[in-house]
Amino acid sequence: MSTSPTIETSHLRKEYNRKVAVADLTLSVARGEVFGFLGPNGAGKTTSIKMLLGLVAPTNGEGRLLGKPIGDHAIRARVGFLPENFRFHDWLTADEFLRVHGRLYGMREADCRQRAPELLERVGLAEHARKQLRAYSKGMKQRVGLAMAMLNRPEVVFLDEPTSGLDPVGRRMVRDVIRELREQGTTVFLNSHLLSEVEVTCDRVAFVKNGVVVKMASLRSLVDGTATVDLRVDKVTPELLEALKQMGSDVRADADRINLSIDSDETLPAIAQLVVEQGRSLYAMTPQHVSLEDLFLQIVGTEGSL
Amino acid sequence: MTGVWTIARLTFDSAARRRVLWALLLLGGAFLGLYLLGLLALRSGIETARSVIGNTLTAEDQRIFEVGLNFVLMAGLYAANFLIVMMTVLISIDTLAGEINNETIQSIAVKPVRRTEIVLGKWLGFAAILAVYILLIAGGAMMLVRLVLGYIAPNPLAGIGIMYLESLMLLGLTFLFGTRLSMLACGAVVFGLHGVAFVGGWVGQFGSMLFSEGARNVGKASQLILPTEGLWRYAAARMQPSFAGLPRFASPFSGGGAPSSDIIGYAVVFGAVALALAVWQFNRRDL
Repeated sequence: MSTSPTIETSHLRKEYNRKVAVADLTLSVARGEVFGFLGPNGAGKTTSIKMLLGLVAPTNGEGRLLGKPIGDHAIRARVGFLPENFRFHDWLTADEFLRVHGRLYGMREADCRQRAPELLERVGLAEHARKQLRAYSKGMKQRVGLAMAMLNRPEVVFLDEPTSGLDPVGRRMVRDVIRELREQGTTVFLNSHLLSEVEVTCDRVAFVKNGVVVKMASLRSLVDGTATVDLRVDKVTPELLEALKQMGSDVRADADRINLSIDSDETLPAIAQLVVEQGRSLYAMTPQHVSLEDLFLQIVGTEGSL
Repeated sequence: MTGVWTIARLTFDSAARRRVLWALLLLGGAFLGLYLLGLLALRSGIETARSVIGNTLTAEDQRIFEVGLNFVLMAGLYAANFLIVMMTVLISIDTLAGEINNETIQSIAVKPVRRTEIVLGKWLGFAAILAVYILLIAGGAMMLVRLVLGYIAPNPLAGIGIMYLESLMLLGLTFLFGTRLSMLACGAVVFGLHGVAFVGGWVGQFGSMLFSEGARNVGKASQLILPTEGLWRYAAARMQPSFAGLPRFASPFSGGGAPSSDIIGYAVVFGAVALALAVWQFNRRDL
């Protein structure tokens, strides 16, 4: 297996009749990474996935998927995809459905026959294998769609809002499946607006807003690094505030309390030292890590529903 | 090629479950039933007449009698042709537009199957369904006339073949509009064009009956816009005995003013170009 990134894009852009859906998508996703793609509705997440999969032709820019230009025909045998509004011919039973897709993937009949029940078992639909999809609930359809996305043992799986319509048990199942995929070395590209789900599954996230990636970082650095610190001192002086502004941002203060945001926990000892050097007494220093949700609201803003 | 067959089979299987198919099958069955009643009534009429005038017909009388039987068959096939046109358009109209719209197409188009294979597979799937339908309806009408009145038209297989060609060509056209337009707009355009061809065919027929060059040209032009009616008239002409010595008459059932055999080549090219354009358009469009 080559070491080129699974996904690599450079200034991908999509306009529909002059309306910009994706303005500039530049990102790189490494092999085996679980990558979260976050943003409010209408930020261009689905259009981005569709460009990567060759369903939608970019207006501009370029991208590579598994080392081949996006839209390459042969590469699709190594890609899995669960569309956001997953729909299929609902007169098929789950078992028939997976076999049809296996044939479309170009899989051998024997392989399909073996793989279909395995996957239905995995997504908890083994006992419904012979039921027509039209009798399925939305959550069950989502599950069978997930099985379809893994059918060909793909090297990269695109999941567009995989937990929509699922109950808590189903959501847990999706999380477990994503973890298993990671353990098998499969790259996962996860479109989601459910931050809690991203928080527990993703290695790295990109925040998109109005079709632009506004921030990209590893989840660990985002959540562990960024924090707000509460300081309690004997007296707040202008000099102290001035000095603290060099260490962090959003510095606010009242009589004996100061609150500021810092980028890394490494800054904490330096803050303590600064307070003491300024001749002040430090009574308490409480770092609080922000949740992904706070971060999301900070980065993407509050406009647009989630 | 596996892709084409998989799509063709999926298309066939899902078309076979469509309500519109069953509705048109039912309609076809009702038509054949009524037709049979008509044929039986006709037979008893003929028998009564024979008991009066006896079985001694002159050669001329025999020929007029045969023309009459042929007319009865052509009227049946004309109705069958209408049902076939309806079936072709209604069964296939939402396969591209509809699947793009409800996003079913997405999980297919991301597979290692070319979009060309998707369109061709669908076309083949419908072609198979339509073959069955045409054999049932047009073949059924011929069979009833054979059983009840003992009459077989000349070139029955060629006639059915030409009607099938008409259907396949129309299928290509429906695909072409289906890749661009919504279902309703696609239907309006295809039936609209068929209507133009139908009326134009009539005008052309009157033209040839009344020796009006202008009207004949209108008929020819309408055949170029959409050769459905022209194909029907050509098929009808192939299935009719020679009319030498008989007065011309205009009717939608007859091959009067029928085009030359060039229409076959034209229809094949027309259908192939429509399908090729549909493929081209589907390849370019965002899904």
